[in-house]
Amino acid sequence: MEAEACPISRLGETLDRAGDCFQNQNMRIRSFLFVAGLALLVALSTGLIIKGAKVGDFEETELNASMICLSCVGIE
Amino acid sequence: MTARIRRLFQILSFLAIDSYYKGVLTGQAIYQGLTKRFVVPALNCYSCPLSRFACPMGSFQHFLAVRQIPFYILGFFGLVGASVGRATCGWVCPFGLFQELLYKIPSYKFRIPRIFTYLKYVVLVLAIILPIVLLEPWFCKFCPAGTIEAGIPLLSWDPVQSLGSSLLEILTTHFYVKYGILIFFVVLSLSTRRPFCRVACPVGAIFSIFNKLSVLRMYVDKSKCTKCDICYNVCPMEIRIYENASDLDCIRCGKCQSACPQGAIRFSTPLDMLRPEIGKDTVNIYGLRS
Repeated sequence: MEAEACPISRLGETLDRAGDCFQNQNMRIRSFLFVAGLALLVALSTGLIIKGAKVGDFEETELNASMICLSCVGIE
Repeated sequence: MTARIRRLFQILSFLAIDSYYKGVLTGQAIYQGLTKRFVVPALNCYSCPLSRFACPMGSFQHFLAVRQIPFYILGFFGLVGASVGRATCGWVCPFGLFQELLYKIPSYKFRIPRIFTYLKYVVLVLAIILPIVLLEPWFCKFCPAGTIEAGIPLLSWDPVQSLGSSLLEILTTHFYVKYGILIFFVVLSLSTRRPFCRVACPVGAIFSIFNKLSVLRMYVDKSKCTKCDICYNVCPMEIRIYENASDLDCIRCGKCQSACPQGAIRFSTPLDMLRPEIGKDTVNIYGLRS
């Protein structure tokens, strides 16, 4: 019996194709999750900056950075 | 070409961040103005007489020391990290540039064992915990970037008129400890690449966490790579990019890209997915295979 006609070979090919399809699908899902995770991180970070702006973090940073830090200079 | 662009970018960044020359001429010790509310994506001491911006680590520790959640700084770290990962270490950091220039001086060269690079995460944990406990910016007390950018210039200049008293009169042994740490890293930089960035920098440690997620990343075409180690020999962070293109220590400097004779290494972004000739590979990159 030739390989093409063999039911077991045909089953093997079908399983191979199914495997490739699953792998591609899996890759697409992983890529999607990666991009979605990245977008979530950017959104969360932007949200934190906006929250910081609302509670006065920028002013606090400016006030602190406008004074000489004695620890930085090396004086306790 | 990438190397020249990067060096130019490093110099321009330094000139942009530390550009308050007027203060030196008018006798004002440090800059006090609107831009001091913005942190830069690199270690840069805000007590430097020339600095126009705030240090992210100094500001982060200040918020922790006053028992406030640093929303803005955390968001900043997240946004920069998600965008470029640790690339700011390679393209923006003035202290990184300083170490790279020191390494160019001919001297005995050696490599730091990889295990020591994990020390920076210990430093980062201490830089988070100790300010909360001790109520002061612990890392700033030992930061060599602070010594060279703020300590030495301010003590040499000693702007008494601006401060009302002499800094030299209140100098303690702590300064000599800081000075010793700076000397240690300067001497080390002559013999090994970017020792402070690899072993002790908490800002680098934070951005390195995002290296596996960031939009900008490196890509290695494994079908072209011959593992000749030319990339490893030129890498300022001493990593083998072909083993892990998203290595935590990669500063996206592009030296490996320029050096690779096979053209196997390149920068990559999600926009590559729109280019049909390399789109398939890029799906693999963003499918976290490399």
